[in-house]
Amino acid sequence: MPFSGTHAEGQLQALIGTAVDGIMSIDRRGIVDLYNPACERIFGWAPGEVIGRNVSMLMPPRYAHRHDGFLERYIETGDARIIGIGREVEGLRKDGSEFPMDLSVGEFETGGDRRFVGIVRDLTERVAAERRLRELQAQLSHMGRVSAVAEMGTALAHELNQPLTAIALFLAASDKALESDPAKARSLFARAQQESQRAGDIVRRIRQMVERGDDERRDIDLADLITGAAELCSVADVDGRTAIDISRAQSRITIHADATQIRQVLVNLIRNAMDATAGQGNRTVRVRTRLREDMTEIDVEDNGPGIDPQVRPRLFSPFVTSKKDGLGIGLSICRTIAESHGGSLELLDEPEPGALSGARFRLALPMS
Amino acid sequence: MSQKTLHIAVTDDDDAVRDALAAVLEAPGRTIRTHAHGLAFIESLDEFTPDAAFLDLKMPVLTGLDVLRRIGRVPFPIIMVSAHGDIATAVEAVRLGAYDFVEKPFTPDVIETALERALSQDSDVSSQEAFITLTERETEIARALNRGLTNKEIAREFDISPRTVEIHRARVFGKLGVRNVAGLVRLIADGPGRV
Repeated sequence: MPFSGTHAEGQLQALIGTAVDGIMSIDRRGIVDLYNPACERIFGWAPGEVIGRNVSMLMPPRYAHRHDGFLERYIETGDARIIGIGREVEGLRKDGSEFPMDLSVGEFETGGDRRFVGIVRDLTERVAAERRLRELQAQLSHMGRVSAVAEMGTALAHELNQPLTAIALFLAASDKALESDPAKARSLFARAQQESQRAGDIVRRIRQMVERGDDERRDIDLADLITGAAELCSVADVDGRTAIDISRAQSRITIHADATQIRQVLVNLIRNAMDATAGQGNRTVRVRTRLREDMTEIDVEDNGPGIDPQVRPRLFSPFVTSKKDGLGIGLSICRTIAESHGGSLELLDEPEPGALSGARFRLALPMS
Repeated sequence: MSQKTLHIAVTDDDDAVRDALAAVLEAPGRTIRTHAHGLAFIESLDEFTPDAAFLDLKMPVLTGLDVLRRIGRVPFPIIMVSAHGDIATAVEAVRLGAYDFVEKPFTPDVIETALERALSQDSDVSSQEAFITLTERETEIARALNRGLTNKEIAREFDISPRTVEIHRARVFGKLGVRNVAGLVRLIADGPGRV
């Protein structure tokens, strides 16, 4: 036993023995010489099975074989990957299962020898709870996307009928021209082909909206996302009279986000803006982006009448809607999505020079 | 054998639909003029009167209905190209002077038939007097059709099956001597019919 005798040693022994977190110690070669009862509960190995052996037995094989190398390099170069930092890593239980854990490592010297202590916290429960929350959120946002597409259904069907009509007619015309003018027939075939491409593009855009997101965040190009969302909305524009201006959406902004969900927020905001201008002679919707410190701000504004002051306080609450067929979950889901990305979604109040006269929403997202 | 050239105007904001429509209409003895928006069509009428025109209903800036309101009565038949299921707008167009309408997506046959009928204007062997021969239910159905309701909507309104609506509808058309909803709407709009 490394500790005995004095009051302080007894105290330390008791602390190590009763700690909820796993506490262990290794020497410079990775050999374990301290392994408390919490470690036993976490990893499933008894102290006798671990003490005297290399700590890499507690790691998944993909890390285990590199661990000795890490230790050696640290001792030679002082280049710390984890010591004094702490990070989330995976551990390996006796039964072979892997689990997420929080690991912090400190070092000390005794008798000229360097040693390391590690404190381990099992994150299985927390990670599972986070995953459940994300799944619920993903389900809710999927519901929002499906209802958005359902609301646009008639308009989307019409827009699909355009290329389908053209295809049928181009093919009939090329059939007619085939004998007398093969070159013309060929060019008509080509037009039919283009139109089938167009129909496919529309279907792809719809699918992007209704598919279940893979809930994966990656680096995505914001301008692409804005263009795609604006295209889908203009396809669903009932009388095709709204001008959607995305010329002030800067290119080359990369955000780390779930593309499906951010697209959903953009589609929601643009559609709301288009609906707000319904019946006006001049209908304008504008999307602009701006960089502010480490955030990207995306403003969606319209020249409609603005948000009814009575609705304002409850605007982001679920089931609040001014639309006849709306579920009223759009904006509340959008805000949840923005916040789960570390951003925000607000209705802007203060007038700004150059802004349109109607409602102005600001989606802020952290830069990649 | 010399035949008069047939001039057809096609107005649609969708490039593909416009070009495709022009391509199927193309035939010896015909010239097709295409217009990408309503204003271009209206302006073309100052210098040229076609023998028939196809006009899209759903266009930006000036819709098909806007165009009809602006040009008023014209000496040539106009066939509206409408979105599938938007009978209400199509019926409104006929009331504004359009001769007929075709629903997207359509086949070349539908286009040719509509064109032939419009050119011969032979569908109306109908008369206002025939309204007297309609039963009460048939009169109700005729009114509903004139309001631009679809079969399904009429079925719901009168709480009968769509199949029954179809039977009534066929009888209404038969008694009045019209071929389709457009003919019915034209007949009602033209005279002081009792419907």
